[in-house]
Amino acid sequence: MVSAEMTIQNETGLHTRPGTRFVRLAKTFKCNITIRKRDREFNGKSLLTLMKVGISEGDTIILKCDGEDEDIALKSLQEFIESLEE
Amino acid sequence: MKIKGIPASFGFAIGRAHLLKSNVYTPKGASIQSSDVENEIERFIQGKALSVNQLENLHQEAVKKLGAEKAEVFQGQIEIVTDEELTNEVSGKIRKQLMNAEVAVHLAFEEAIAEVESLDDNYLRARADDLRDIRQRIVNNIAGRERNDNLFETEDAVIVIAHDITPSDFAQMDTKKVVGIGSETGSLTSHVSIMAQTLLVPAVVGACQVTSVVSDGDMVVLDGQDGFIIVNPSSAVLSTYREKQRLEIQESQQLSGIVDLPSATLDGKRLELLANIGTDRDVEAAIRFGAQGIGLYRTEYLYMDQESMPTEEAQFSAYRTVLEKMQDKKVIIRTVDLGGDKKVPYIDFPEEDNPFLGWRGVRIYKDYPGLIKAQLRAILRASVYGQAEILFPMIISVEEIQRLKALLSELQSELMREEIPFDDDIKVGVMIETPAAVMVSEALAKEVDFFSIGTNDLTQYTLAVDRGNNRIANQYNELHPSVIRLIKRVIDSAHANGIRVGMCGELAGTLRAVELLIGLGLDELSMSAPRLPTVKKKLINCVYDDALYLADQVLQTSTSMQIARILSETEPAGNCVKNNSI
Repeated sequence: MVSAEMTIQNETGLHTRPGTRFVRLAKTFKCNITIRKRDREFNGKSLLTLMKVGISEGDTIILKCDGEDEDIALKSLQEFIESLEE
Repeated sequence: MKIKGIPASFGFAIGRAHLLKSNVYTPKGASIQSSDVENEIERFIQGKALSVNQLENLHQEAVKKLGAEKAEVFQGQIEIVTDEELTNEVSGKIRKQLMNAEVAVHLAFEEAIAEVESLDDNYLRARADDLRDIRQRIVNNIAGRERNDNLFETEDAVIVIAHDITPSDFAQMDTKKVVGIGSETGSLTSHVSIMAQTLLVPAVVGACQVTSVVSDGDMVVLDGQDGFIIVNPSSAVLSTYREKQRLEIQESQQLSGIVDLPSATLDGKRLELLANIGTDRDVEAAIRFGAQGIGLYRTEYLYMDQESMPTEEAQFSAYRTVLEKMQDKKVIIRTVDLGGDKKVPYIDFPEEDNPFLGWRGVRIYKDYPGLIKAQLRAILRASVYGQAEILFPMIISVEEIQRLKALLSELQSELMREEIPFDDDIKVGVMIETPAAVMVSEALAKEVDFFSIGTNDLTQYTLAVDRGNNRIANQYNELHPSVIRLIKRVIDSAHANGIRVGMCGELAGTLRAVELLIGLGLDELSMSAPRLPTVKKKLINCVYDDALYLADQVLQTSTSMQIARILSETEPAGNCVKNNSI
């Protein structure tokens, strides 16, 4: 299992548009992907859950990947979040 | 009959009402038998598949009509329909609680909707409507109910009225026939409002009970400026609105022409026309209305409505976005001006008898140095992405600006040590909005690269009038002889020291003051973006020599009334009432 802590930089956070793209990217990997925000941990491949929890600009999250392709998954997702601009 | 709602997309529409039948259907139903479980699961799967199909089609249509970016909302909807957790929940309810598929879906979404609606973020809360839209589609498909909006068979010039208009509804509308939309639900940031703005379709949302008052085929006027829906308007009301439509068309035609003309008087005196912005979303309007730059970027919005101070990173990101959008056009970023009526929970504001004369603007920086350091660092770091300039608010003394410049210098050294690049030639200016600043403007001009005159506060402090106080608000007058003389003094101080001077208060966008401001010698005017075309039209029709003469005349009069008269005489005849007997 690998993990990384990140702070969300972009204005709209992981909402609708970036959220959709994040989940689709996450789904391309075999490993389990979870996101931890404060004391809640949830499935990073579920857009519905992502919307319910609400990840906004300034939030600090921990990305966890567990499984076969966990390293590349973590790297890709991190890069994706860092590249968000809107 | 006039119904009030929230204007969600600017414009005026006149047409026949087309009532969208409500698709809202709350499923009920008996529980199922355990032997039916697999069948119900299958109904759910089929319902999802059909929904995905429909949404793919809608997506394609939307890409054509609204562009790929706005159409992405349907991709998000598809993602939700196929969501893992949702599927698990629904299956769980069908298998373990023996609910039928429609009810299982309805309840699974209910939880999500409730949670989304309780989030703090306004933008996020509006997503609850999207979830309802998606849920309705899945439920309708499972139940085999048809969506019954035949908007392709309507006559021309129809105004769609409904309890609720969903993105899917809107995407199917032929905007050549649908000239306006009105709904009882919805908000300014809902997807439908945003789509309507993109397509320039006037819209009014939150118009309670409009569906009870409007019948299919009724004549309707939809006012997307003030948020009214007028049913069966009188001929007087109709002609008023037809006139508004005509003027709007005229304005937008002239607009496209004006944007490209050089920003100068008939005899070649140049004046820069800039826009005031509050958020980076305002930048698009600034560009559209032809702003030559941002004359005032109010950064308070980054600080307000937050639990804690915005991080340097978050600010850096915001400033970078604006600078990149504006490219080589300057962006004057005003450091945060909190206090008075702008309070935040993470700063300890005292109880003040006179908040207006109190702890605000740069005064707060001394007690919260982290605040200004983070902001200046963020601005410096972002400065490599465009033409940033720094503006300090509420200055009353030379010492203040000297201290701030020293701090800036310190932070620049810090960044150099950290090997973070920044614009080392970044311009620094001060707001002149207090009489004190005006009176030492000669000295201030030697310390900075530019001035920006804030006429709103300057007028209040000079006339000792609180424009929020009803008893005396009518004495607030930006064209008071004292205010004009102070403005002149600031301009003279600036030019005597070779620096430029602009104005960012309301006066800068006031049509009848434009010629005077040109004649007084301002180099820049900054205003809210929609004012730009009107002001530019005035500018390019002015003669600088005449403006100088006008300014001279005004500076020699000592009463507001005389000044008002002089200024109104320069308006083309027909725009004002002449009072020759005064």
